[in-house]
Amino acid sequence: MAAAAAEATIDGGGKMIILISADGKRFEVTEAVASQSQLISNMIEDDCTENGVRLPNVDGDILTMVVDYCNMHAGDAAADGDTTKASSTEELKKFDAELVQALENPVLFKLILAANFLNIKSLLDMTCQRVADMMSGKTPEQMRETFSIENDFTPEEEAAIRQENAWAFDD
Amino acid sequence: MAYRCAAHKKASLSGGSVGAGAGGGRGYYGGPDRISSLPDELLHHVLSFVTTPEAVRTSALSRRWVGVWKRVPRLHLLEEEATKAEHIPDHYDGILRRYAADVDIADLAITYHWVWPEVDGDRASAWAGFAARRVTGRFDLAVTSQVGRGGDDDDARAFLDLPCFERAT
Repeated sequence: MAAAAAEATIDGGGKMIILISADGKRFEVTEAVASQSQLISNMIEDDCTENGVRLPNVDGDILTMVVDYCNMHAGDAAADGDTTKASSTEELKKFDAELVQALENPVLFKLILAANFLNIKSLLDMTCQRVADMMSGKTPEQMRETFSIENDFTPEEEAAIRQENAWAFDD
Repeated sequence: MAYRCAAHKKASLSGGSVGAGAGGGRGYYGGPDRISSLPDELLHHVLSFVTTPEAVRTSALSRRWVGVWKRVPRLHLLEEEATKAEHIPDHYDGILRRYAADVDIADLAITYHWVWPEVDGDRASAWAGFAARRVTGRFDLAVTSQVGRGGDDDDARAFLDLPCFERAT
């Protein structure tokens, strides 16, 4: 990823590639931006991106968010040793915090799947952390409510599970 | 070149950041319960960001979740996070026993600082032995002896023979 970004800088901005969402929306981004996705980075290395990169698992609205995220974070990966980085780090933190706070069902889970499919580790970690925060400090009943999980246990089965792992339960 | 591209597409459909098969494309847009439709690998990743008791608590959500916590690569058995005050080491043993036998643990921590007799040298050795067999990353064991608390009984002082950690980093 660092190598691709460096190459792009030498080219003066780098080559552009087209990402195509499941519903046919097209996004033009630099290779440096796109190669934050390990999946696309591999395809760039293999010269597989000339005709655009079709992403059949990612809807346009989700890909918009992913591209925004990668645009914001492109400087992050490319600008090692850049003295202007301190202020942009602040901006990035703010951007990430606002993005993640705005995420709710179902967009959050679509974004997790997209981040996983595209293999963008920082975005995957951030979105999974958000889900973890939504679980944290909750009883199973509260978690079921938060995520619309149906309880398909019999009362006896649920009691047995709670008994077995009593260490983790408050009751 | 075309062949390599094709190979990549194939890999991309079944691959992902977290484990093989995690990115699979069907089913997850249907139904309001989106979290339970996530592939196991992603649930393990999510649960690696919560405390171990919180991860274990998900076993009571639904049948889908009964075994999910048993494969989370981060297992922290910390006394301060336990909800039960009594027999905590017995609960720890139960958790370690039920944890999936074929999963490598990247990060294992066990702490216990209360009543020493419950954690004698044998128990601590057993935990260390478990860790030596299973941990591939990091292992923290912090067990405090209450030596001196009940008089000058030198036998309460235990020495732990550390096994060989062949897999830990």
